[in-house]
Amino acid sequence: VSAPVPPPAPDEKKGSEPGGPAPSRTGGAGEAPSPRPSGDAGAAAAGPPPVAAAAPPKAAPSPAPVPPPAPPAPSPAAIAAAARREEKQRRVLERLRERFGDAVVQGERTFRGDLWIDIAPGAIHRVLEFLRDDPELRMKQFVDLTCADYLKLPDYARDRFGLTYILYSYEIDTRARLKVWLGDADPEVESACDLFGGANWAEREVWDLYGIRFRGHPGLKRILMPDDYEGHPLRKDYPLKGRGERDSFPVLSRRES
Amino acid sequence: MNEALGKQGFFTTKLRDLLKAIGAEKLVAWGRKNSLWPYVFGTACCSIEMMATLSSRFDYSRFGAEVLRFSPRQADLLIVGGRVTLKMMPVLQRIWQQMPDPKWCISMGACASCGGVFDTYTMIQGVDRFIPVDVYVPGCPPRPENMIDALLMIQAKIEAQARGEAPAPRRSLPLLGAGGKP
Repeated sequence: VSAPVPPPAPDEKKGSEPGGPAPSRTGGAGEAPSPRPSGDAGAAAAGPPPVAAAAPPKAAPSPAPVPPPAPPAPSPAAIAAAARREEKQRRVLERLRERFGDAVVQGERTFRGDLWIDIAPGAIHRVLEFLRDDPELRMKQFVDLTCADYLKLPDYARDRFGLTYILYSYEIDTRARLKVWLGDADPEVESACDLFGGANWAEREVWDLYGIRFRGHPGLKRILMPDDYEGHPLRKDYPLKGRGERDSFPVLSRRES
Repeated sequence: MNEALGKQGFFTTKLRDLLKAIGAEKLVAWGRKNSLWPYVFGTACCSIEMMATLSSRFDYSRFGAEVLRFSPRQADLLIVGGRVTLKMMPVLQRIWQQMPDPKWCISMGACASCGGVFDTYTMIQGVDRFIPVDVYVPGCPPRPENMIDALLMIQAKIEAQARGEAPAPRRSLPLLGAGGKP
């Protein structure tokens, strides 16, 4: 039923078997007949290769370092696709700048072809609404809302918490990554629940793990940690091993259970 | 039990002979150890290996642990397979309390036994801190052979308890040869 497996192509073996190593393979005049793996062993048994015999005996046996293979060059189609994607992302940025100006669109950053747009914390609700309803962009898909604590990366971040909204547009097949920077004291932004139903649990998660409050959220309570948990454990100043919460259960012995 | 057997008949006569020969305690223990009903508390990848143990290749039911119960009230062997978090531990304790006596517990794999690599704020560092455990199974996850061995150890423990002895010391695991197949 299965197709017969073709025998392995003999090209490589044939090249190295007869004669002996080609001068280019032994690496140059400086190389002594040091033990080489596989291919040269047969040749050494047949007789010393001419290049090695001519080499001076003082030469060090260290082989020349082989440069790592270069990554394959991207195809023209991939380059064109990346350029199109970048252009669409630029268009999102342009639209936001046109509509809101530099007071709201505070900055941008590109990382591996992905554009981040920094948005002022007070304006995020307006920006999300605009992106959703704009006839050109129509970013109706709320992909994710997440957060990161940049406590130990002050040079990289504008402020301590980087709240990241990701929207996606099916119409123009592009994403918008909106970054909202929030400070340490009383971090709070407006909830996006009235715009995107999918924001509900994402905001609860951010509240649970980072302690960022969302104004106007219909039920902002913990979603992952137990309800009576204290603290927000993904903050970088939270101890990794906790504060003894996991040791506080009653111990059931065999006798009493 | 002798009175409970009631009127004479072939089967009851035989059973009475058996009782006389080996004693009621041992007979009950024999029944218990060969018909353990596991409750599989699988929270992570260990439960995948548990499925392999239960399915036809390894076939846990050869040792009597065939009837998986998904209600703790019908089970007498709790198999904790996987990570147990801060939020899950009260649930696990509740499940343990809901199981009728007598009951046994296997802590399967590194996470259930000691927290594994997850020494963080949310991970319980071994379920034996909060519930009793009879047999620990090392591995990440354990092989099905290890689980079969754990079941045999539970059976040995049940038998020893019926005799009023302490469980026998750990015997060495019969290992498969290199490249051996189950």
